[in-house]
Amino acid sequence: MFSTFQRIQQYCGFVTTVTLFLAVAISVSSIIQEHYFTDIPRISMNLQSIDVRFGKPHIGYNYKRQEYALMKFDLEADLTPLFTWNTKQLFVYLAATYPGKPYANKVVVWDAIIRNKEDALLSLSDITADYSIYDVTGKFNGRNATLSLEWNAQPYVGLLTWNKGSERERFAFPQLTPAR
Amino acid sequence: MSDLQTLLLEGPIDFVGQQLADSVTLYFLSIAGVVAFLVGIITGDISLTSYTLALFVSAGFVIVVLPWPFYKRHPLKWLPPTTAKN
Repeated sequence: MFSTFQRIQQYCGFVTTVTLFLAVAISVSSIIQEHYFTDIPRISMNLQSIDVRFGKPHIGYNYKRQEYALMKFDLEADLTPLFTWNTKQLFVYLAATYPGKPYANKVVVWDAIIRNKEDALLSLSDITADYSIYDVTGKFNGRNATLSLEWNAQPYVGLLTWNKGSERERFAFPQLTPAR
Repeated sequence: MSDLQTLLLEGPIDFVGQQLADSVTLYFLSIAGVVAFLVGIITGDISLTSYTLALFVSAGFVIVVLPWPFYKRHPLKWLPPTTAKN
């Protein structure tokens, strides 16, 4: 540490070490806080209507005419327990899962980004889904589906975590509404 | 080079001073890390952690990097010059 430059090197090197330890401590503490000190978020959802139509599911190039489903639902969720001091934002989405060959299908119907604890109290009624559901086979055939609220907690420092609410809304795809 | 240039650009300090500078970086920055963590977890605001850490790091930079007189209290004692024997 004889010269100024050497002292700058040594000092900045230790600053990065301290920052690394601090980052590990922050992420571990927020994981502990999330698992042991917070309650389970309360969720209630209600599927108001689901409408299966025939046509192009999106405006745009190269969408073939097929069956697609539009949904309207209510959602009430208290996601404030998920906000720790390390939570940067919460990516919340409503996903519908239904069977298919060879794998089950999971489609996101609605999503939102929540940046503050105050905004985490969701109270939405009679909203239309952002995205329509359309199947790879082009037909639904009245399959049963499950709607669940899931989220991805994005921290400032640490690993991303995914989780879902225990509330499930079961429904079946209705038959095609006849063309007007 | 002038004395001021030597002082700032080379910043020489004696060996006891170097040991002191090393200890200061270790303890000062470790305490900075702990305090920054505690500030953040108590207030629940992670931006305060960044700000206190930045504050401590800049204060520590001034304390450690600049060649202060208290790093030069034990100058090296050189032997007196001997005349060459031929």
